[in-house]
Amino acid sequence: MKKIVFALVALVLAFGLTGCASVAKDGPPPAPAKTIVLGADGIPQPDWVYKTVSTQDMHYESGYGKMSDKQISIKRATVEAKNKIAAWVSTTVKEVVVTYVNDAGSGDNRQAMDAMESISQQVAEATLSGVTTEEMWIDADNGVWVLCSIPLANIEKSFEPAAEAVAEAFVESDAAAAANAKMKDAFANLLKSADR
Amino acid sequence: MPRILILCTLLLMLTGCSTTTGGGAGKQGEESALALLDLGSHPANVYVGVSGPYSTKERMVEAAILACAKSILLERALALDNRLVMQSSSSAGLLSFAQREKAYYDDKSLTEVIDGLEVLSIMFDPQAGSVVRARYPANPSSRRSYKATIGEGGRPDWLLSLPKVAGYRFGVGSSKAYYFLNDSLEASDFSAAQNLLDLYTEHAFSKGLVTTRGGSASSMDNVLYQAQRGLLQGFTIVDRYYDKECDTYWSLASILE
Repeated sequence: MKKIVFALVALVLAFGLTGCASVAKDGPPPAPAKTIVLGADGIPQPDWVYKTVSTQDMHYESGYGKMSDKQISIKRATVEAKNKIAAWVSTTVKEVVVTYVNDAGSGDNRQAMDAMESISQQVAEATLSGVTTEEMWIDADNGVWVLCSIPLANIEKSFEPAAEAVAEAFVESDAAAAANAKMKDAFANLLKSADR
Repeated sequence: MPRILILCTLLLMLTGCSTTTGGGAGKQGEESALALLDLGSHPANVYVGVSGPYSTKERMVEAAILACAKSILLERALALDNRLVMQSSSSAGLLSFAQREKAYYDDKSLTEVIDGLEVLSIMFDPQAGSVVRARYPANPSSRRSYKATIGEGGRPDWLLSLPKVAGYRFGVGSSKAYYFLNDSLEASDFSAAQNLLDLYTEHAFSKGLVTTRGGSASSMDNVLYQAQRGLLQGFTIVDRYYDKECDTYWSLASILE
């Protein structure tokens, strides 16, 4: 009899343990191990190499360069990053131009379009002031990655003279002042939203 | 007796050979010449000038003092201008990467600076020519921005990552070895100044032109023109390193932030 009771207790315990095990199996699966890419000198690859970095007050771009030596590779990488910043500024401004023309209802006005195009170029040319190389990483093949930043305030400052020029150019138009103010707002909003 | 004479002659010949190698164009000589330029134990208003070899000692000292004064003027203000053109295509990759770099400094007060120098020491070296250390009392006797440390393999730590010191910005430059040491150092220092401009750009103009062709043979050409300029203040060479394996000179420079 004792043997039967002992066997029953053992069975209950075994079921209990199996139950515990199945609860554990239903839980969340373990996270996959993150692959760590090591660069030259054993430094792990930073996130900004493959992820977009964004903050409220700065715009970031990365650049890559692999040339005959490290110094020229750094140069090429920073040139690429600065060019990306310039392209970003140009794209943003072009979007503002489209918004402005649509809002004013003057899509057929070629004179207005040309004036706006010319202004957008001026902004793109004048905005790259205060570009800083924040981080640098060298990969295992000695290719150089840089992360460059530009304060958004610097871009807005550069845009102000262009906005004034627009106001002067369209002084005879009734819609000019209102559209100019709208354009300024749109530009400020785009700078915020485009960087997210 | 004749055997001893022959032995002595051979010994003398060998000693003569080793002296020439050690003090001449040997790699050891280049390293020891760099050690003479180290100002780590001096305050920031002590400067060093290198002349390179000249025919007379007087000329060497004169050139070294001039170099010393020049480094003071470079510290006051150094204007840099850099233009670059890069062209690439989707089929052929990078086609050109050409750049023109220029630096300007104001030498109007060179005579006045030389008059104000207090020469501390004059040394001679087969590689460096004359090395003059001089104090310029008109500048404050403050601490140097950074004290270099040596890492693994005997290489300075700043070659691995740039130092971070509040109030200063650092840049690294390199140059292949030229025939004269002073030319190698100048090229390396200039490269460090340009690196500072790359790492922090006061003003840059970037213009890219992308041409895309469609159809059966589609391709894309990319032409980029970039110009940048900046005015560096407090430009100082903090440390130097000579890489024997690559025969390359390295300079660590700092500016005021």
